[in-house]
Amino acid sequence: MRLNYRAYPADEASKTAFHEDVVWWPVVPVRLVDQRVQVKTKSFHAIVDSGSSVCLFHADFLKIFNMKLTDGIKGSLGGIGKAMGIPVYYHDIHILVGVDWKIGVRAGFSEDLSVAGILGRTGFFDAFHLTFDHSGHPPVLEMKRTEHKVVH
Amino acid sequence: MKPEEYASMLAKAPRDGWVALSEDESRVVGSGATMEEAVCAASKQGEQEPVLVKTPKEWGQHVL
Repeated sequence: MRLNYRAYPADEASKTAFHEDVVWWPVVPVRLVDQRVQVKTKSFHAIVDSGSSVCLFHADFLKIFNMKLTDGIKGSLGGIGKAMGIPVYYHDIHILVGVDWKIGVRAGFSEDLSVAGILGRTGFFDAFHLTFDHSGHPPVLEMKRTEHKVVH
Repeated sequence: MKPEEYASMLAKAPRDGWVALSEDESRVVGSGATMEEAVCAASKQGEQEPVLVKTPKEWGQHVL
């Protein structure tokens, strides 16, 4: 699967510093599916992020599954700043990528996430071979499935 | 839709919330503070399979 990066709005600083009217992000359209594979969310954009050790999703998705956020394993999510980490709760779910790739992951959920979802190393990068090609315009993300982690 | 047009569409959408796009992602069909509100607004517009985007407080460069 080859996906062009998506263009998102740039702020004035970005326009001045990088002479780009947009900010490019590698995103994949996905849905979340509950453990019993009975309920799935609407499609949404999740950012592929090698800098994230785990997959993360906004807590609003759990409401679709009638799952309680705080029933998960509690953790804390830190970033590169000095600010304290945000609370995160780990739950087991499936991620539906495209129409026929489904992977089971233990993902963190948080009410404080500023994006819908982040596809991180554990659970996602070990399920796909990923190539980030910035040599062209727009940049391109190429995904190839690995056999051992994909669940059908 | 050109990438720049897509970015422009999102730039005009409410921030720090959820935005529902039409299935072909060519227009905003709903928004809300919660995902449920955005999906409900999209449904009222006749869109049963919206594509959801969580909008940040400020667009621009982000380190996740």
